[in-house]
Amino acid sequence: MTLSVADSAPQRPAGRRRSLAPGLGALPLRRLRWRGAATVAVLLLAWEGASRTGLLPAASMPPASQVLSAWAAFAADAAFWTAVGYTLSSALTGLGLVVLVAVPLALAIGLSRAVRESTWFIIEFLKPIPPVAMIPLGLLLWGPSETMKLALIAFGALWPFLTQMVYGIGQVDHVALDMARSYRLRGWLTASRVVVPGLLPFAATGLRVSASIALVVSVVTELIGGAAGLGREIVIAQSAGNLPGMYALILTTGVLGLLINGAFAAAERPLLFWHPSQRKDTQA
Amino acid sequence: MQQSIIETRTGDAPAGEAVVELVDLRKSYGTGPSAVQILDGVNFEVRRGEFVCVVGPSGSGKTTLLKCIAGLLKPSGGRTDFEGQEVTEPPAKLAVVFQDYSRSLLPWMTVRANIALPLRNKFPKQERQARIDEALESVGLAGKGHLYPWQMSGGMQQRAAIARGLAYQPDVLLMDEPFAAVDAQTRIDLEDLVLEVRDRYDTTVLFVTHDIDEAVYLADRVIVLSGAPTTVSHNITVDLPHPRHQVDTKREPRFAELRAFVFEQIQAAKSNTVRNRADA
Ligand SMILES: Nc1ncnc2c1ncn2[C@@H]1O[C@H](COP(=O)(O)OP(=O)(O)OP(=O)(O)O)[C@@H](O)[C@H]1O
Ligand SMILES: [Mg+2]
Repeated sequence: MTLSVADSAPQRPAGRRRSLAPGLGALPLRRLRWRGAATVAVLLLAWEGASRTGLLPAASMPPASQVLSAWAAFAADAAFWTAVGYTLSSALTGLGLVVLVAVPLALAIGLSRAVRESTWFIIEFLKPIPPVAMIPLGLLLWGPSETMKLALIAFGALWPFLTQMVYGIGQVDHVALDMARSYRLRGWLTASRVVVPGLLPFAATGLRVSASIALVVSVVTELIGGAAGLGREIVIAQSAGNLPGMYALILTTGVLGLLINGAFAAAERPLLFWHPSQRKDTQA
Repeated sequence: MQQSIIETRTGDAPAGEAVVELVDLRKSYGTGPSAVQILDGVNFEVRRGEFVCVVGPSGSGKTTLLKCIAGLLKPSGGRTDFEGQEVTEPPAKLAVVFQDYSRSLLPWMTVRANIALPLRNKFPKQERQARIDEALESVGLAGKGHLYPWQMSGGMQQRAAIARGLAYQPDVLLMDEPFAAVDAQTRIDLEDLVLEVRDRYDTTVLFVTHDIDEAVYLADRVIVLSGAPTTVSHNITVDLPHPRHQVDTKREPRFAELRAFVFEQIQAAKSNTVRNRADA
């Protein structure tokens, strides 16, 4: 194997022959929707009841109905959408940075033993550092700014994508490469038709995990570091004693996470239709 | 004994132009004290239009040999020539059908696109389509080009890999145990298919196999490799009439003789290998 950048063994996005235990993305969507919606409804009702009967202290946990109406009020509030925009655009820009950094880095690590050996220690050292622990450093360097935010998002979200890419490069099929060489395929044809499609499943898995982390770090830097976005709005709502608003904002971050995951899953389907995890194995 | 009725050639150059020629080919893996000599001076040639089968014990270096001929591996000594030129990179007029069809066909492309890939930059689009259709037809996959490899059975996938080699219209087709992973009935079908398309495309074939029956049935000549470190132990002309027939050919006493002879040589090579390993 090449470099193991992950603490756990790198996730295999399923080799050609083996298919992954289905993740949430692979469950039949309709069943997922029905059962999921029912569970949410039951939880909301339980929350409402617990809060009204005093089982939950109403002072720290207002009833669900209040939170939902605060949420509905946000929908017409431009400041709310601005905050959503800040959080989301930082997360996505940070993710873009991750791709820009990780692709050449993974190529260098995957293809050169010298690079692999000289970067192994530093990567294994940096990887377990939680991005939250870097906030003080970020604030010292850039203050509560967009730059600070992006730097920390990129730092936190880099590893899953990088790990998957390095692993994927190590898994490029030697038989397929021999085939390409024996037919004297030009370099760009080998790259675009043989190597890159084989890397896509790894890239997709890594990108999806990195996107979730990017969103989390985005909110955390706002919450602790004071950069503009949903995280800062949560702090403001809390200090103003606007608890329904605070919970509505927290729910918003969860919904954003779901949407990002869903968007990536939807984008994967047409690209990875051939992959054992996506296709229905029907033999002609 | 059997030597008297089996013509084995060691050295006397046959008539006809040699398209592939191995001259004292050596290959070892690894370096320094951990180096292992696999091929230890292999000499034989394949003439134009010939169907040559290579048999040898498992691990004797058949795949290694094929990769050297295909320009995918650099020999550590001696050389292989293709059409009179020393092989330093994969020759343009040579195609390889790999044993592992499920990995040599790209799952993200239809069978048609897989076959088309090596033809890009080689033929104009119009001719490409015609060649693909013809190749698909000759392996019995006409109208199946729109399928993805994973929508096909193992036998169909191997046919698709053969079609890719045929559409490329190489002078020489190298096949590395192409039927090892398919069932017996499919194997018989594919054997006859290969003989048929060989005649149709007039291709020279170098075919590696484990199966002695298969080797004698298909070949004009069988090369028997000794156990590692490997050399050519026998070079046997198969003087069975053409066209071959699964029942009639295999019923001929001559077939049985040849088959038994090759079998004995491989057994001898195997026990040699065991002895060599024990000595080491
Ligand atoms: N890349 C490699 N590095 C080191 N040793 C290798 C390598 N490839 C093959 N070998 C060794 O060389 C020997 C011959 O391998 P090869 O695959 O050529 O045998 P083969 O005759 O094709 O065997 P089989 O009939 O099982 O396919 C084996 O002992 C194998 O372990
Ligand atoms: Mg082999």
